[in-house]
Amino acid sequence: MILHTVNKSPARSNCLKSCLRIAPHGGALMLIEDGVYASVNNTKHSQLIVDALTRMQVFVLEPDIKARGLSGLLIPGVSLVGYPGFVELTQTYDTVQSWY
Amino acid sequence: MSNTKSLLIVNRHAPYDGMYAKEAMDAALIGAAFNQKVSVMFMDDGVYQLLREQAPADIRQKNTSLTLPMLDMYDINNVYVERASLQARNLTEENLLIPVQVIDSVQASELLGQQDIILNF
Repeated sequence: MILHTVNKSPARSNCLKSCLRIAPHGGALMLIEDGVYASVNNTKHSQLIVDALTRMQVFVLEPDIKARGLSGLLIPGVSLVGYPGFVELTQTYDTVQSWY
Repeated sequence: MSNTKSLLIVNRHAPYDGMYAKEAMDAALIGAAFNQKVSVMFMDDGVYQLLREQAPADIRQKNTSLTLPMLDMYDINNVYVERASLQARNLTEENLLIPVQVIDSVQASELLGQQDIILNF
């Protein structure tokens, strides 16, 4: 199983879309840095994550959410993790694929 | 001949995506300090710079939103936000830290057309 990380805003980059063509076939998604904007609810891009959640786990790095003032705006079902949780995930999954 | 020019600062980057937010603010305040007619516009991911309750200590960055009230202190009253950018992100003025004027794309186009100088960040 692969942990896919995305660190770009969905409004500025196709990283998330490219990742989501491949990642749901046996993997989990980890949103970090500006990638966390994809986890905001009812935006132009939130359907990507809503659909992904039916097929895979979606993790979001909480310090990046707090930094950007996004607490309380998130899509239900995404899992918040801190830096220690992120490190654990990188150990749990076989490999990490970075989309940037 | 007047030395006063109209200067528009355009913000299109999210707040912790490099140094854009800080440098845009520096440019706006320096413009105002030199008595130029400064306007500031936020669009696309730039509107995220205005969100309340940013707390970037854990990502080891400075809270760029804390300097937004400086615009008012420097008498920069023309702060604009493009409506479509807010709507695409499910945001309203209530999510924003400072008072702004929400404008549509036609008004944004007119705003760009009125400037002597446009700086993009």
